[in-house]
Amino acid sequence: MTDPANNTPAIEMQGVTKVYGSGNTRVIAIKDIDLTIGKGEVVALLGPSGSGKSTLLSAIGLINPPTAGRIMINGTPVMDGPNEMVNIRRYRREHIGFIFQKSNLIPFLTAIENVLVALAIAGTTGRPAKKRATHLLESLGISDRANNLPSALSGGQQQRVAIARALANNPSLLLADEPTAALDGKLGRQVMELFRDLGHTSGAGVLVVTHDQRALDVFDRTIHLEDGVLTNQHEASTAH
Amino acid sequence: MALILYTLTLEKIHDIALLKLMGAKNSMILGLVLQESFFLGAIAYGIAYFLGDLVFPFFPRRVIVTNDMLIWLALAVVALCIAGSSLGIWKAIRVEPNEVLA
Repeated sequence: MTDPANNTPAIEMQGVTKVYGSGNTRVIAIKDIDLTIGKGEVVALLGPSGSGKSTLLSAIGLINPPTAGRIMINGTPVMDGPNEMVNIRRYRREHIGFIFQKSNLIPFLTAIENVLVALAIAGTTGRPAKKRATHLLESLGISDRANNLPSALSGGQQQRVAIARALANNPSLLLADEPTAALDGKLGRQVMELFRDLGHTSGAGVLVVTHDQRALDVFDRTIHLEDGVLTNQHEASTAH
Repeated sequence: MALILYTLTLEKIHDIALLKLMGAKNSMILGLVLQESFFLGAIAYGIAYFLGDLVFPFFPRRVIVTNDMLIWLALAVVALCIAGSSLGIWKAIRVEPNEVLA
């Protein structure tokens, strides 16, 4: 018997528009976006600077409410225009993992403590939290650096700790904003492959904003944003 | 005290925004600022106690510090810590999570 929950998209956006300012200063950052990302699907978001990628990502991440349109996560309506349908902060905590261009690790905490913070925010503490954090660092191949401060880690290792932190609470949606921009080509590709493997094994929908054209073959689908409008979408077979 | 705590909070504004992005409750952020405030307050109280022990014998008149006075002083330090951290807390609570993306 198939589980109907498995067919529910990780994220679904209908007619999402974001307008900044008003009157003469009115700017439409994204316009009428319809986007669906399935569970376990790994999608790249491409577009030139100023095309609205960050606005789209922050709308999906429930950081910046849209002016109009509807956002659903796991089939649950979470935003209807600027109106919050659920407790947004709790939803971010339980359902969304963020990864950035810079690792954004807390500099005075060790690698494992950075992961433990995410778990503590969601209410997991003590031995179960430590077990989960250790498991995540092991699975990402950096358990030997668990007690190092971020300053003692390489760029790739820092990014892996950031990924472990994003995965700490088993998010159904993983959002990454140019996660390989600070990494060299080979390391960047490894991180992209890691996203693909994570998406496919954990079942989380993964959306990666990237400029890196060299690793597009890693993704199930690429979508292009231009002047705030989705221009085209390619399945993996036609994207490269 | 308030200025020190406000500056310390400003230094951590990016980390606070990150915690909010990850879904941290305001009470958790408030707790972090208060913890820092109480930590500083405890250090100041300890230094004052030992410094007093060292210098009071050199005062022209005898200084008597009773246990009651020490308790009242500790309570005053706690109250000052809470009052002093209010500016930092106000700033921390107002931080938007999207400041991480800036």
